[in-house]
Amino acid sequence: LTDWPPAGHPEPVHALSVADARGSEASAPDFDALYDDTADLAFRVLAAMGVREAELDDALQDVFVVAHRRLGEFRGDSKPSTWVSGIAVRVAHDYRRRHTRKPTEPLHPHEGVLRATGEAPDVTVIRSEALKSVQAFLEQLAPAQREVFVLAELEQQSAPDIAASLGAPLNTIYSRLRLARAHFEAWARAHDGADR
Amino acid sequence: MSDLSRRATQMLDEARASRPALDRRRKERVRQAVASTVATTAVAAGAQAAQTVGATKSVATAWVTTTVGKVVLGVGAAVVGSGLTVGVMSARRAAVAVVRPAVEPAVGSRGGTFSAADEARPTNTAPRPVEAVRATDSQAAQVGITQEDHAAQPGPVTGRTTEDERAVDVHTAPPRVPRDALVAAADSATGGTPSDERAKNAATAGTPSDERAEKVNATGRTPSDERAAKLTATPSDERVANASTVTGQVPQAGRAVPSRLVVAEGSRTEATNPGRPTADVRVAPSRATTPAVEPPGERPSGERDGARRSDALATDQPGVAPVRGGTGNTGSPQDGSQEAAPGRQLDLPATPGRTGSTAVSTPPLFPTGDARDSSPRPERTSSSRATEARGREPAFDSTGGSGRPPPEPAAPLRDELTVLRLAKAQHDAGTFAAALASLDEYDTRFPAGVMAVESQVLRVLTLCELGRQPDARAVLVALHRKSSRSPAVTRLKTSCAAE
Repeated sequence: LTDWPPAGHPEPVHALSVADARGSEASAPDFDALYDDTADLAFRVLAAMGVREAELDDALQDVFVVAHRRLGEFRGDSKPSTWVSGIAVRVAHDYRRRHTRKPTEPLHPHEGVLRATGEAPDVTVIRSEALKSVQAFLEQLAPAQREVFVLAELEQQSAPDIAASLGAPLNTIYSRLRLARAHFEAWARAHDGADR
Repeated sequence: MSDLSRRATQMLDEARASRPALDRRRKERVRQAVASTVATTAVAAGAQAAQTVGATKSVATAWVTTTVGKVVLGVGAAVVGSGLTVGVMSARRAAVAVVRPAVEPAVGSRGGTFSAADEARPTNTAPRPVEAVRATDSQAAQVGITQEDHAAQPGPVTGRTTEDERAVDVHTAPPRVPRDALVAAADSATGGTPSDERAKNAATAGTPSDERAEKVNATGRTPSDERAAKLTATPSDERVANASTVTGQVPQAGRAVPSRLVVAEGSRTEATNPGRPTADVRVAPSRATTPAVEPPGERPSGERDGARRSDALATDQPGVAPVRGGTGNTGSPQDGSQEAAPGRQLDLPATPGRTGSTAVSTPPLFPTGDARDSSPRPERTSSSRATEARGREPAFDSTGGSGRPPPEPAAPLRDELTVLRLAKAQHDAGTFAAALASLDEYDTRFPAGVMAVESQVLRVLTLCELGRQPDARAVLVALHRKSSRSPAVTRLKTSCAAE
């Protein structure tokens, strides 16, 4: 791989620029730009969808390998972030299914992904507690509702975008989101009662 | 859509604010990993495509090379063989012209390749070899020469095929030679030729006609009341010995002339007219010289000298080997040169009891069922060969008859394929009983054959065709237990045995 891209390549600017060498359409976004714009989003979706901390990097790599392979098929019908988040949801689903078949350790919230924000310690603790609560809620949510809830409530994507990224009818997305919110509302009430 | 309560919304806001983020170093690491994966995939795809193209090219090249090579070799062998035959005959005639005055009227037998008709021809007449070059894989060269043609065309007749095909032909040719037809052909060739007087001389010189008839019996290897001569796989020297008697080899002054024209066992003889028998002539796959039948001690001393001189003269011809019969030598000059040495050794006086019996133990180019013993064979007289031939069971009996040879633990794959192909052909032709008999033959001869699995698969299919489903299923069960992963066994999933 040391000779990649091959000698004489017109634009060996960046390794991922090889996407341009395979004749992708003019409307397809540049892969480097796509990665810069959507890597954080994909990472968050993967984490929210329950991919283990130790596998987050691999899962993220898989997301963008798929995105690179299918970049020529992207016609701009939706936003690039929506397209990548749909890929991330599917990759996360594959990872979760793999561990469901072959469990090696119990699923757990992503302690390691919490980062220092520079805010007051009490605020950080409160937010991390809120994140753990949401993660615990997502763990017991149905996968289909979880996908919609993560994209709608955490990533704040619109229902049409979610429908486009997941390839599901819009009403189905609304239905799943309604049910997920109802579950979360009930769970929040129960969580508040337990805290009191 | 129901709105969330204030508390739920607050929790979501707090969780959203504390979501994990991808730090820069981690982001770049994943970027490089993606680049590596993409590059690896591209290289692997390119290599696979190149490998596919390369494999296709290599297969095509190999096929073209093999085909062209076969054609070139075939044509080259034919051309060289033709030239060699003509050259050998010319040299021999020259040798005869020189030797004859010196050895006349010496009697006895000596290995050579002149026929009786050849001797009857004036020496300044060019021989007219009739050649048949084998062109296909499935048939042996059959030179359709009647006895009249042979008499009218006194030159030696040379049939030439590739030697492996001849070896196969000996095994697979159907037994269609009535014994009396062979005897008639022998009598016609020996007694009906213009060289009657020489035949008489030869009889007085130690080759009585009854001995010739006995050898014909040995060829047929059946009792006199049986009409059909079975196809047998006798040692090559025996075949030549037997066949040479049929084709008009008449021992005469100074030499016994094993003809290059050999009637192979199993060739077709149509005795439509008893007086004018017609014989299809095949080339015997033998490299051995033809042994002459002569009792030891009856050979005058002058004859040996004359014969030696003849050989010496023939050998002195550049590029010409002293061919002593056995048309398999004519295709290659190397074969002829290889044969020259044992021929001379046989002429040495230090080999008593073998006067003129030039049974060279040269192994055949391709081992047949009889040639499984690669060790040099002991010299044998014609009478011992005939006795042994009578007592020997045929190596391959295409009639599926009663007698079966003992199993051959180290039989070559060629024989296996011959039998198995015959069974497959019979199966494809719808003669399932015959195919089953051939498969039995295979199992008997090759109990640990390389193609045993394929044989059993064909047996299952044949039994299915015969409606013997329980037997087919039993064979399939045994076969599946032994080699369940064979693709050939997998093919039987659709047979009646799997139902």
